[in-house]
Amino acid sequence: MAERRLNASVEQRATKRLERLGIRRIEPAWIKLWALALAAPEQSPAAWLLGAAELRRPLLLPGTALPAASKPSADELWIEGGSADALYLDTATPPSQAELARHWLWERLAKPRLWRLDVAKAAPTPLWFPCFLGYATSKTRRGPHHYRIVVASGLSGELLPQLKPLVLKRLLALSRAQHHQSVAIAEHG
Amino acid sequence: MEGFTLFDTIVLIGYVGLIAWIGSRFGKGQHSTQDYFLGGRSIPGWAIGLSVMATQASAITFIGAPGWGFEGGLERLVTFINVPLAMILLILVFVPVFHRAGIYSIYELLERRFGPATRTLTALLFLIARGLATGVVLYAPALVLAVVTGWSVNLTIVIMAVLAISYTVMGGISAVIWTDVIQMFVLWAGALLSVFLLLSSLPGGMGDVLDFGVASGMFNTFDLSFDLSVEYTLWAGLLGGFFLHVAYFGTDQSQIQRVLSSPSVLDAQRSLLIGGYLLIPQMLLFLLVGVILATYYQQHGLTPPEDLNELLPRYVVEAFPSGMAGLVIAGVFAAAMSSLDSALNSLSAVSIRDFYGRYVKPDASEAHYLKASRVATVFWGLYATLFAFFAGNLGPVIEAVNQIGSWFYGALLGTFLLAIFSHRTNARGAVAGLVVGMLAVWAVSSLGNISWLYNNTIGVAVSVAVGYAVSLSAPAPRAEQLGDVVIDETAPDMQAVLAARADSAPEIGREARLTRWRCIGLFAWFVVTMALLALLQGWANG
Repeated sequence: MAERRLNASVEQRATKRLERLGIRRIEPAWIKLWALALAAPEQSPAAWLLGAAELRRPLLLPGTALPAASKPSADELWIEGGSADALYLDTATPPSQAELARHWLWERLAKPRLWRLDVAKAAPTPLWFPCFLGYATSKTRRGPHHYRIVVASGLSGELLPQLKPLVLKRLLALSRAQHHQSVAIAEHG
Repeated sequence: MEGFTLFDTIVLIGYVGLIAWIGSRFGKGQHSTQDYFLGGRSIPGWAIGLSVMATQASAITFIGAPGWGFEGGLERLVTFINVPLAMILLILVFVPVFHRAGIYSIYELLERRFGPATRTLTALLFLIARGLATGVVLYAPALVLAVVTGWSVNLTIVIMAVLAISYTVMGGISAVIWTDVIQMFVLWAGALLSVFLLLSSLPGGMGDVLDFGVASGMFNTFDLSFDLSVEYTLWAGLLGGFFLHVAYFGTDQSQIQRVLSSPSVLDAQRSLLIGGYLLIPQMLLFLLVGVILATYYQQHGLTPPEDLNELLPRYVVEAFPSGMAGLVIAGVFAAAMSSLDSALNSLSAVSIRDFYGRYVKPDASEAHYLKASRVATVFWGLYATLFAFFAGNLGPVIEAVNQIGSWFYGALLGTFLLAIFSHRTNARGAVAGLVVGMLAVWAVSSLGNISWLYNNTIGVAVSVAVGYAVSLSAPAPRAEQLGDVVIDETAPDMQAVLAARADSAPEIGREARLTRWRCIGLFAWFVVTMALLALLQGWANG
């Protein structure tokens, strides 16, 4: 199993990329995805498809090892100079094996280099995927402080705009859940 | 005058064989997963950008542009002067939307926005237009082969088609990024060596070229005429060429495929950025080769070949040292094969994903779809072959590709612009705009007498106007149909959540907006090239 904690160079790369995009504030987060191995016949996995029911196109993670699947503790992902409170974004519904297999077919038809690699005939494995959430503010017609969010991979530092709708949905759900919880606590004493 | 020697033939076969070997050795294994999302890549961005340029246009540029330069000097550079501006629009608008949407083919975005009819219609237009343009791309290496061997072009078209279809069906050469970069440098080196050898053969060297160019008006890039029938005016280049290139790089699946498959938005933007900076100098170099060839032909009292596409390949074969000619011709071959591979593959992928998998066999097995995609590759190869027989009559090959696109792409671009910018436009309006936009292009180009460069502008203008107007006759689209083009984060409740999170997140640095600076750089480059060309024209006209 690969080490769960981000290494310094990835963190630096992601921070640098986000800074160049005008991001002023950044926080670590873990998002729950489901992984399915991709391997040539009789061989160990060459890559992993990472999907979620809400994710329109799965991500592809090269490499044989999968980051740890168990929920990480808060001190395992951190930004230099910041707090260590990581955010956990849970996605409720796993994608089916058949859905991910069909996605992999379209991926290969579009870019047919990896025909030898096929998806494992197994249920997708849950995975907490590390990422950085960057926040920027700008003045727009909509008001003096329009907030923008950018998602970067915690494994490579690459930007992942395709995760953004999923992250936004989860952030909103989390905020509502916290609000309901605080209301309930206030009501019941 | 050595001609194409046995040594050249050995170099040609060896080079193409080496590229194929590298492609199969490194392109199909575990290494290539690094091209996909999340990979920690070690390949620099400039190499990725050059690779994109190599598969885009290098072979047909090598063959077509010198013919342009020979015929009209630098006047046709206005067709490309707008490329930096087109790239700005693509970088700012199209790439982020396409990447965020998580789509395999861009026509899927239109389905989510306007429904299945729009997707089907636009994908069908892509198949027709790209299939025809692939015929021109097939014609280019066939012409080189004909010049080299002395065989008829029709025979070499068939040979090239069989070669291209066979290796695409077998999985493609899958040229890895570094082989594309090598090809790019081989072609540029070929052009520079042509310039050097041609200038060495002129008694006055560059002075002769300047004298000839000035006397025959070959350095006049900017024609300021407002006459719409004049083909290459500055206005046609700025207005018509801008929409032509936005449409070509932004709405043609075979071009945007690399952008959709880029590991990140920044990588996708970078590949467009490099095209934005290098396309004009590259075109200028090859046009200049054409001007020098014109001087050479005039001084030596030679008769140019009937088909001006043959100019540079013929010169390379006749004047280059043995071995070097083989290398340059091999570079043209490999680049053309790479373009053919990606064109046939994108045609096949759209056929299967947007048509066969939706309407004919929605739930077939993977093996069945693979077989169907191979049949589709053969079909599109044959379609392109048939059209390639006529491609020689369409003039210089680059213009032929662009003209074919201009029949369809303006209306297609208009539909994408409506999808992204107009939240009131609905399915009825989109289809009406698309159909009427194309009819308008057809009517104007067949009945009127205006430069073909305006075709895309007319297509965009009519499809946007008609599309929006017709949309008012039907209800506005539902919120979920706007999901890909309206950014969720702008909703008030989402803004409150983001504000709370941002306030508690640690601060990392000062503001620096990369995308903005990239676009400013491209605009500055556009201004600089315009100024330099204007200075050259001013000097040439005293």
